[in-house]
Amino acid sequence: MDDFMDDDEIRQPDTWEIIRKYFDENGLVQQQRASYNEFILQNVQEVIEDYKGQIEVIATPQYKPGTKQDYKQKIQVDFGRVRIAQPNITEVEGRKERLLPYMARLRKLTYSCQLFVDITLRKYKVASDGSEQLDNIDEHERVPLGKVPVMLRSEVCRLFGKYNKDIMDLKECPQDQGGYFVINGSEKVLLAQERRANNLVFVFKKTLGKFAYVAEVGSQVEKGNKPPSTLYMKLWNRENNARFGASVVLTLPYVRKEIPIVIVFRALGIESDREILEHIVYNLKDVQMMEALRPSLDEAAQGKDLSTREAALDYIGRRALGMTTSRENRIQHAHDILIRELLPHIGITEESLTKKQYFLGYVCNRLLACSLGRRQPDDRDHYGNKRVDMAGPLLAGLFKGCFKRLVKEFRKSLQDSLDNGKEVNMNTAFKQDFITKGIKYCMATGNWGVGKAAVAGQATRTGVSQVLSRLTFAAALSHLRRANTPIGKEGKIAQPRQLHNTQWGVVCPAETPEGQACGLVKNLSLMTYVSVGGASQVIIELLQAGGMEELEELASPAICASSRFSKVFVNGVWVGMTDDPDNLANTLREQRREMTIGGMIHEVGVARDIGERELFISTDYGRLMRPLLIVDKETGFLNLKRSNIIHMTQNEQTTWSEILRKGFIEYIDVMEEETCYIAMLVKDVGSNDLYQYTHCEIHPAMILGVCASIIPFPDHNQSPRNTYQSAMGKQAMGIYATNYQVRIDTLAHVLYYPQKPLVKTHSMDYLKFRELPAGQNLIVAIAVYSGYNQEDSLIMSQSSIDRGMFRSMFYRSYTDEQKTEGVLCLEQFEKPQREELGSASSRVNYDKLDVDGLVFPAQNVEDRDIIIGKTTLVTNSDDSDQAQIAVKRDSSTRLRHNEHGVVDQVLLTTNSDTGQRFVQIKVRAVRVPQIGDKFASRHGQKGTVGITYRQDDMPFTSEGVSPDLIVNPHAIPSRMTIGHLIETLLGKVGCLTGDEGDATPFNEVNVKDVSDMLHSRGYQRHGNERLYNGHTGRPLTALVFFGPTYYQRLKHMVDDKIHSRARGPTQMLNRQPMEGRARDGGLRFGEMERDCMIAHGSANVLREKLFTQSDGYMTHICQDCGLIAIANLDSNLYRCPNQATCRNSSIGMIEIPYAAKLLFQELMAMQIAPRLMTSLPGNWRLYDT
Amino acid sequence: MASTRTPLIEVNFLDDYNINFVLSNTDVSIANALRKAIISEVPTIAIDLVEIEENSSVLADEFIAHRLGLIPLVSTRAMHADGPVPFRDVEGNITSFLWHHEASDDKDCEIKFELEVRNTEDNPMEVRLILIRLLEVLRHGGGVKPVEYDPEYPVVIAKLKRNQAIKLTAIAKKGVGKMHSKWSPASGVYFTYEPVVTINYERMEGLSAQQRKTWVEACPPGILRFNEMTGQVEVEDEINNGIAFSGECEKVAKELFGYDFYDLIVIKPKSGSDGYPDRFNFFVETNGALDPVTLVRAAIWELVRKVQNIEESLRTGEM
Repeated sequence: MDDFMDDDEIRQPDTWEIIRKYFDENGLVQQQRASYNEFILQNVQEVIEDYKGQIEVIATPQYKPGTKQDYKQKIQVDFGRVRIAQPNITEVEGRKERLLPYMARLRKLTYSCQLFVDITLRKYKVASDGSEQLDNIDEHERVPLGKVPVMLRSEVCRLFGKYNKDIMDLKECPQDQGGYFVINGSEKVLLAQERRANNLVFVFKKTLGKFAYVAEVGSQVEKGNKPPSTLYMKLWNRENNARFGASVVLTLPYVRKEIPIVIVFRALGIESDREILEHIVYNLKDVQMMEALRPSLDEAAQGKDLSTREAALDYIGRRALGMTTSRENRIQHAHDILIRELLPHIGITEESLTKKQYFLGYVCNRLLACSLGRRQPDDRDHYGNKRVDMAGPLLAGLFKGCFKRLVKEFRKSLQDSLDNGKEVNMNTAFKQDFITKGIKYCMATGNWGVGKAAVAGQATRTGVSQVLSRLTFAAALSHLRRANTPIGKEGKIAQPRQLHNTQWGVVCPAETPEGQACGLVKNLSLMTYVSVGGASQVIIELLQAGGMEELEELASPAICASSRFSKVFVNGVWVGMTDDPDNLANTLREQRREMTIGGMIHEVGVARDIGERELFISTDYGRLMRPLLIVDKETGFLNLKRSNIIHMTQNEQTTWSEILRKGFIEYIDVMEEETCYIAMLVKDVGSNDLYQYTHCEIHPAMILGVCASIIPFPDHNQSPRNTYQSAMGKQAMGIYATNYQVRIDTLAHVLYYPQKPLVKTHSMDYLKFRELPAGQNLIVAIAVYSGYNQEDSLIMSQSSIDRGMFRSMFYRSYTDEQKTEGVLCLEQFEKPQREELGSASSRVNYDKLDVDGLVFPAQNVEDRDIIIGKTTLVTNSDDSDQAQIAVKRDSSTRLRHNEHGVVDQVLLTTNSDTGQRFVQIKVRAVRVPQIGDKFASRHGQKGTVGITYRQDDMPFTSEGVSPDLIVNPHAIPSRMTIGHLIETLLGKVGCLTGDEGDATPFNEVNVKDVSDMLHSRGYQRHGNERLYNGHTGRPLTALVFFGPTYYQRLKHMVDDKIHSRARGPTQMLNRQPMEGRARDGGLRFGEMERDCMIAHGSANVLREKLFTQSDGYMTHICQDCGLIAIANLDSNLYRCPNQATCRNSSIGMIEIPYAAKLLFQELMAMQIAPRLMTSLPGNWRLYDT
Repeated sequence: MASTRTPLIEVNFLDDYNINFVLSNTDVSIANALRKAIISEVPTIAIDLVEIEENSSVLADEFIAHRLGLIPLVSTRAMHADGPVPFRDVEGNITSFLWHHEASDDKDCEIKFELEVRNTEDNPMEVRLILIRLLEVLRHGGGVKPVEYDPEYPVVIAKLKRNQAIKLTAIAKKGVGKMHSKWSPASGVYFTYEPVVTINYERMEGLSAQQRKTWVEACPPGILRFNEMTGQVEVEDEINNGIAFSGECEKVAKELFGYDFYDLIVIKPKSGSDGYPDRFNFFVETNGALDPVTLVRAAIWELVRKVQNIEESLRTGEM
C-alpha cells in the first residue's frame, strides 16, 4: 500500500533514527538540567542586577558632643558580575579540595558551588544643602555570595562534559543522567510544579454568588521579584444588582471596592463614552454588545459627575487602601496604582497606559462575548493554560527571597557602620549564610519558601524536594520527570484530575498514582520539552519589522472590528494589530525553524486563532512542548526524506540540534498544537487530499512516560492495568545503578541474575532498561494446578529458585556520628565495657565490635548485635553535694529487629563543617524467594507465592519443559490484560527464532502472524500446550497457555512483614503494648473486635484482652477517701497519705488499667479528686433515677 | 492388573549425557515414579560449604558460594555400596561415600576443594577477565571433580579485574535433588505417551483431494503428510509428540469441514489391554554428575529400596 509513495518518503520505522538522535543528545532529564543551567548561568545574575542602584544608605544624624559635622555620609552599593566556582570542599584543617558527587553522597555533604560577586561601594559626602560629592570608591572583588547546590551533570557540575570512562573513574554510574542534587548526602529531586499560566485572560461562568461571569488575569512581570497580582473583571448577575443590573466592575489591587469599568477607563484617560465603547465593543453597530454594556454606562452616569479623569481618579482614590488625605493626594495615589499596580506585566510606566486601555477593553470584550454566548468560557484544565516550574524557576524564586533578606541585613549593617562611623567590614556585613542555609534548608526539608511563612511552616509548598527513589533505574528516571499539582488533595473536584485531550504527547496517559494524588501528580512523556523562556523583546522587534502596527499608533480601536485585522499578543500582552496575520505567523515559524536568531527561538510558540482573529506568541518558561515532523506546505509531504535518514544513520556526528536546524522537526507547544493538523502516522501524510496536514507525529509511542514505556503491548491492555504496572515497575528489583557497590544507600535491592526482557519495546533502548534491567524471563503456565494459586497467588518452582531464580541481595546502611558539643557532651566510638556503663541492656551483644567500636566487614550479624559501639560521657551535676562524676551512657546502634546479614562495608570518615568522626555501615543479606514474596508481570498482574513445588512435582510438556511459575487463569478475563498474552506468545516465538520480540505500542503487530510463526514451527498456534501432571504423570485435561513472560520481583517480602507477639515491650507512659512491627509491638484489639466480644457475651475474653494482656495494674486505695493509698507490701504497712481525715482507715487493693490510674493522677493535678469507692460509704446514698 | 505385567525397557539412544528408552508394559504411576526418582532421589555430590578467605571480586561471598554449589561434580562415588553400580577405587574395593550425618570421619563424607586466583595482569587500565576453575582436588577425591562439559567453554565462576583475588576452600557433600536441586543429577527428564494416529478413511471418502491437502496444510507439521501420488493422507513417520496430543488436527478438521468430521482423525496414546497407556518414551539428560545408565539404574534401585523398606517395616512391625 506504500507503493504510490515517492521512494524518498520515509516509513514509520525510519523515525526511530530521529528518536535515537533525540535521546543521544538530550537524554531523559534534559528539562531538569536545562532549567537549572538557565538558573545558575542567567537568573542569578539577573536577580542581583535587579538591585543595581537600589541600595542606598545615608547616615542618620548623630548627636556627638564636641564634634561637628557639616556633611552626612552616604553609601551606594552596586553589584557586578557573579562568578561561580566549581564544587569544592574546605576540610576542617583548611585544606581545600575538589568535591565530587560520590564524596558528597558518602560523607553526607552538600554538593554545592560557591558564588562570588563583585561589589562596589560608592561613598558620597552629602552636604547640608543636598549636594553630593563622591568621596571614594571601594571595590570588593569576589565577595562570597553564598553556596548554591549543584545539579548533577549541569554545566557547573564536575561531571559536565565528561565521557563514560572518566565518569566511571569518578565512581559514578555512566547510565545515571543527573538532574538531581546531593543535600547532606541524600539525593534530592525538585519536582516540577504545575500552575496556571500568568498574563492570560480567563473568562469563567459562575454558578454561585453575585456575579454571572468573571474574567481573571494573573499579571506577572517577566523579570523582577514581584508576586503576581490578579485582576478580576466581573459581570453582575442581573438579579443580584437591583440598581444597575448586569454591569461590569473591576477589582483593582490596593483598592477595597470594586470599581465600575467605565470609571476605570476614565481614570485611564479616556473620557468620552464613545471612545470607551470603541475600546470594548470595537464595532459600535454591534447592538447586542452595546446593550450588554448599557448597565455599566448607566452606573457611571449615576450620582456625582464622574465624567472627567480627575473625578474618576478621585473616585478610585477614595476607595484605595489607607488614603484619606487631600484630593490631590488621592488623585496622585490612584494614578500611581493604575500605573504601577494595574496589569504590571504590560508596563509600569506612563507610556504603557495606552496598552492598558486596550487590554482592559479586550478583557471586557471577552467577558461580554462570553456572557452573550459568542465565546465559550475558558477551560482551566486546558494544558495550554498551564505552566510547569522546573528546578530552575523554583530555585530562582528561592534565591530571590534569600537574596532579599541578605540585602536587608546588609543594608542594616551598612547603616550601623555609617552611624557609628566605622569602616564597613564586608565579611561580617555581607552574610552569605542567608543564601547557603536558606536554600539548603528548603532542599533538605522540601518546605519551599523563605521568610516568616517558611519559619512558621505554613502557607508554603511542601514536598517540592524529595529523596530520589533509587529502587530501580526506571523509578529514578520517572521521579526526575514528575510534575506535581499543588491543589488541596482532599478536594474532590474531578476535572483537574482527569486526562485532558490537550495532554496528548506531553503527559503520560498511564503513569499516575492511585488514590489521593491520582491525576494531580503527572509524569512527562518521553519527548516532552519544557521551555526555559526567553525575552519577548526580540519577538516584538521582529513583529514590528514584519508589519505589525503598534497599539499606540492605531488611529482608533474601531479597526479591531474589521475582519482584515488580527490582534497580536506576545506572552498575553496585546502589542499590536496586523492586517496579514498569516504572513506574520509564517515568518515567525520560518525563523523558528531555521533558527536564524539566537537564543531560545526554537521554543517560541505561535498560535493563530483564525476564528477570533488573534495571534498568540509565547516565549515564557514552563510551557510543555514536543517535537513534531514538519509537513511541507507546498508539497504536502514531510520535509524529512529517506535520504536524510540514511545520511544520519551513517553519520554519527549528525546531532539532534542539526536535525532541528535543518527544519525537519520543530517543537510545538500545547497552545500551538491546537492550531495544527497532525498526522498520526508517517504513511498518513500526503495520502489525504481533503485536509492539509501541518505536522506529523514522530511516533505515537512517544506519548507514554518512562514507566509505561516498559510495558509490552500497552495498547492491548485495559488502561488501568497500565497505570498499575507504572506504579509497580517502581517497586521491582534489578540493578538500580552500575555503581551500587560504591554507594551506601539506606535501602537497596539488587537482583543476582537480572535479565533483559525477551519481549521489549523500542523505547527501552533510551531508558537503558536493557542495560539495567529489573526482572527475569520466566516460563509461565496459565493453569489451575493443585489450587495453591488461587486469588492472585502463584505456584513457583523450587528447583528454579535453588538455581538462582529471583535471588537478590538486600543492602541496609546504618550511620552514626560522634557528636561533640562543648565539654559537656562527649561521644566516643568504642567498644562499650559493661562495667563502665551505668545501666546497659543485657540483651545486646557487643562481642562483634572491634576495639574501635565498629564491626568487621564480612562479619555475620543478627538481631541482638551491636554494630556501632558508641558511648556518651555524661557529667552529672544535679546533686551538688556529690563530686561530679562522669558517667558513660551507651548510645550504640543495634541491628534492626528481625534482620540479619553480613557486614559488607564499613566507612569511617569525617563529616562536613565540624569535621566530626562519622561512620556508615552497609549490611548485606541474601533474599531467596519464598512463600509470601510478591511478584508481578508487566501488566499490573501481581501475586504472592502460594507454594513452591520441586521440578518433579511441576507439570511438564512433551518436550520436558516445566514452568517456573504457574498463574491462575482467573487472573485474566476480568482484567483484560491481552498484552500479557501477546507478550507470552511473542516471547515463545522469540525463543524459537532467537530474536527479541518487538512489543512497541501502536506498531502493526498482528497476532495472526505471530501465531502462524508458532504454528510453522510445530507448536499449537495460540501458544497452548499439553501438560502432564508432575504428581501423577497423567495428562492435564485442558490445554495450557504456556510460554516465557517477563516477571518482576517486587520489594514486598514476607520476611519484612512477618510479625507476632506474645509478650513484649510496653510504652513508657501508659504501659500498654508498643505499636508497630519495628518495636515488636502488639496487634491492636480494636473497637470492632471489642464489639464482637461484647456481642458474644464473652466478658472474660474481653477482660483478658483489654486488661490482663494490656495495662493491668494493681494499686491500693483508702476506702474512706477513695484516693490512692500508700502500701508497703514487704513490711505490710498500709495507710492513707491523708492522715488528717483518714487515720486508721481501711485500705483496699484494686485492679485498674494503668491508663486509668494515669488519668486519675492527671485529674488530681487539675485539682479534681477522683475517688474510687469499692462499696457505698455510709454517709452516701444512691438516688433512684 | 499391573502386577501381572513385566515392565520392559528398550534403549533407543545412548551417549555420554543422554539416554532415550521406552518403558513398556507398565502403568503411568510406575513411569512417573521413575521420572521423579531420577530427578530427586539419586544421590550426588555437590559443594555445600564454602569458607572464603579472600574475595575482592565484584561478586559477594554468598553469590560465589551459590555458584560453586551449582557446579556439577562427577558423583559416581556417591552411589550406595549395595546399589547396582557401586563405586570401586583403584584397588577395586567398594568405597562408599557416606551421608554427612552417618559418617564418623570427615574423610568418608567430605571432599575439600581449594581455589586461589589472583589477576596479576600488568596492564593497569584494561579489565582482565579471568576464568576461575576449581584447580585442586585435595584428598580422597576418588574421581570427584567438576564435570568437564566442553573444555573450550568452561564454567565461569567470576571475572576478576587487575589485582582482584579469590581464595577459598569448598567442601562437597552428598545429597539428593529433594534437598536442593544442585544435587539433582538430571537436567531434563520427561516421558511421553506413544501416540497412535488413526485416520478415519471412511470419513475421508467425503473429501476431495484438494480438501485433504488443505487439511494437511492447516494441521501443525509433524503428524500428517499428503501423498500427491495417491491423493491420500498418510501419517508422518516421525510424529511430533508435542503437537500430537494438542487436538489441533481434530479441531482443524471440524473447523474446515463441519462438526461431522470430528472423528476424521483420532490420536490416542498407545494403550494396553486394560485400556490404559502402557508405553512411555523416556528422555533423560544428565548434567554429567552420573552417566545416564547409572542414573536410571540408581533411580530404579532407590525405588526398589523404598519398597523394600516398607516390606521390612511390615515384617518387623516397626516403622
